[in-house]
Amino acid sequence: MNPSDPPGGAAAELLDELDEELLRTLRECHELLDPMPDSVVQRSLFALAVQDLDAEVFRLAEQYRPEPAGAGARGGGEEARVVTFDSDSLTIMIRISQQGGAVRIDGWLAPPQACRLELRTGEQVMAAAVDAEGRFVLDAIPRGLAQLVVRLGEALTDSPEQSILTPAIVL
Amino acid sequence: MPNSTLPDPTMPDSAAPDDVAPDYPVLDKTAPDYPAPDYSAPDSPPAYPDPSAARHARIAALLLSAQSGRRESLNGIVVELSPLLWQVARAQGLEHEAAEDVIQCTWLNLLSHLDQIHSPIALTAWLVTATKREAWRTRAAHRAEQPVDRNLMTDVRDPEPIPEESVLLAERHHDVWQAVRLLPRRCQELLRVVAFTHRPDYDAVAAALGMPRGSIGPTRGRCLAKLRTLLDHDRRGGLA
Repeated sequence: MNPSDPPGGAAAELLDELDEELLRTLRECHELLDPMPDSVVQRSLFALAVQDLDAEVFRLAEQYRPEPAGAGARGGGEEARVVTFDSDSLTIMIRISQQGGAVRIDGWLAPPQACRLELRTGEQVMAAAVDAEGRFVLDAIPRGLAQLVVRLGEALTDSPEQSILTPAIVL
Repeated sequence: MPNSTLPDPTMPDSAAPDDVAPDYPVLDKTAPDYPAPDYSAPDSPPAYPDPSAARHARIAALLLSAQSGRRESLNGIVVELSPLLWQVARAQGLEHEAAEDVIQCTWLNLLSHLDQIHSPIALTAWLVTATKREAWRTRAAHRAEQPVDRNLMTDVRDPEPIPEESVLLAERHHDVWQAVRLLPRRCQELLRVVAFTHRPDYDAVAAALGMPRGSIGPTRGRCLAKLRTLLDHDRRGGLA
């Protein structure tokens, strides 16, 4: 037994300097082997700039990304990404397609209901109406980070206006 | 998100340094402009010989200020604590992108819970709990969807040695890393996350990771003790 070892038992409760040193070394290992990408903080800060404090949050449920368009892929460069978000009360599916230098979103809200919806991008807030079938379209969206905010009316919730946020995604 | 499973936000913050911080705007909600926080470890904190106490006081101030509506302070908390949440999500076996989404959702969910959190320790515990639960849920959903060929766990470091790791790590780190990989998975997860936790938060984080309250300290101690035994063997083996 190494005489510098703690006697164990109750003493294990209090970490000594060697424990702290081991934890520090382990931290450095993880920082080297699995560094947190800068985008974690960037995207979080972007998403948190939203004004809605009491919102419900959509979680990203599913994402379909097209294969990178190879040579001779279907003409027109029609490659769309489909992202589905879930909250406790709603599902929203968006189809993201390229439109010249900009981006177009075709979306579906389920269960379907007419309401307002906003897309926050770096420079602006774009508004769209969701129709009674739950459909909406946003186009000429600049590329970059974007976040959807669904604003429900009285129909679904008790509160006069309930908003639901998605995390920020890169368009 | 059901609040009932979250740690009690009123959890007493026994490590709160009430006898320090004379020149720190901890209680001054009306402070006109919170100074741009230095996110690196403070190199000369005269009031705090212990850097983790300084950090604790800094997060306490950021929390109060964020609760009074200052988004810059909330942003400061995001910068401070995202690295810990990254480890929590990755230790659950999430791929990079999924881990990013989970962390974002944790921060967004915090917006509506911020007022119920009364100490930096409770804040860390809430964030770790929310991240772990969401990560677990995401992983379960992905597994159900992709039963066969897309194995999410390929992104997690398993006990097999990976050559590039040895190249990246200096010798001292290499020894510790190899020893950690021999520990039970639960110990690996705990130590990975605790390694990114500041001392006043150790117990709350261990509890948030699902260690029974009564055995928090001993569990963490046991994992560290096992690690030390392994390293000790290693060293003696090397000398023999």
